[in-house]
Amino acid sequence: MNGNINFPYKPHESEAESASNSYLMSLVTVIAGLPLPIINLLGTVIFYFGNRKGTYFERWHCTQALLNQIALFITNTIGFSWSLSILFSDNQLSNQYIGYMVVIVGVNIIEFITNIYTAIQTRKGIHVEWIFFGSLTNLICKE
Amino acid sequence: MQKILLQFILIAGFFLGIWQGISQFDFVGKLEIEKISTNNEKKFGELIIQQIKSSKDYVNNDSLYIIVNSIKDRICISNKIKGKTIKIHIIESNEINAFALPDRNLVIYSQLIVDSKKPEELAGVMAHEIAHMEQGHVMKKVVKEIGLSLLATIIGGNSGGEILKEATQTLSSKAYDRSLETEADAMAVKYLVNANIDPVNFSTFLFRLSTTENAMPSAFNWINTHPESKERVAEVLKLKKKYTFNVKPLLSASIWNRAKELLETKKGEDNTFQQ
Repeated sequence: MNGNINFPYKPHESEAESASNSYLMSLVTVIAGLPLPIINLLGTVIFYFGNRKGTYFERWHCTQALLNQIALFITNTIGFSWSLSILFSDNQLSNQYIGYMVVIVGVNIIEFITNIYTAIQTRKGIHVEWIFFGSLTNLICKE
Repeated sequence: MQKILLQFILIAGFFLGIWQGISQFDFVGKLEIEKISTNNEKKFGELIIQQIKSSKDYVNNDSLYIIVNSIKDRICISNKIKGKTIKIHIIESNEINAFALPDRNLVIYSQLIVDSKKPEELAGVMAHEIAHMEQGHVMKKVVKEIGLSLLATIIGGNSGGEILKEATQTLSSKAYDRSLETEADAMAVKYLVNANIDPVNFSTFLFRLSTTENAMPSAFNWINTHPESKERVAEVLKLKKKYTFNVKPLLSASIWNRAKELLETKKGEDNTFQQ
């Protein structure tokens, strides 16, 4: 994660608020969506579509939050379906499964903390790029 | 683009590395060993058997048990299995079924004996159930089907007879995981070969039941709880080819017929076999 990266312009107060909200949206839906991973993705998608015609700063951060949610959705869905298959089908509890669950719980916690940090920074108008997701957002989101 | 790819590889590698690293720890072993001790299995098995023995359908005929135990002994001695710890229980029932219960209890329904054309067919089913016991499948199934919390309640003595009855019903009517069934079949073939019993009898029994089950589906419980019987027949025959052995007779026809007669008589006169 890189903070204080130069953004092409100094975002306005309202832009900073809106950008910050995209991360807060992810946080709220994470809490509401557990254990169904689709809920937080849906929340972020709705927020993304609400802001896709916003300013560059707003769009950039909405996109980064969305990409992050998609990745999290994939890992959480794998964990969720794996759990269901153990409960209701032939799959058995294995060390691989427990290992995976430990890792995704860790990933979710890291993501949660990172979201809070990024929401605070963007609220101050500071541009924050995450590793991989930031670069991918730069590729997708054009000024 | 190259930078993004590198960052992706870094994140994915980190994720997979941590996952594989954590998976090296034996969570399953630790959890099962600590939570389901041998004592718990023994206690749970005793509770279930107490209930089964109190049923009016429990068969108490010494002669019959001697015959069935001789089949068990033949399998166990040849395979260095502690046969004395395996307790056979015969239940009067029109269902064709046999199942392993905790604490090395093997329940056989009378109709399974009646419908086995040869003692070798019954030996096949018994070898399969003994394999489940030897491979530790029984308690895995208990935990999966009734859950750790209910198991703790039953063992703790806080449950009513109804819960125990339901747990027994679940264990007798639900199948093991397919992988465990396949493993038990492979072990059963090995046991039969070591005991100089031709596994073809086991596959014949499976085939016969799988082809006739449609006529009387409810009666073929053992087949219903052991899916894909035809595939299993083929697998048993394939496994058999791996071994060379000399077939030795298991029981004489007269002794086997005697076992069936004892059960047929029991059907009409319930008190005949009371000790």
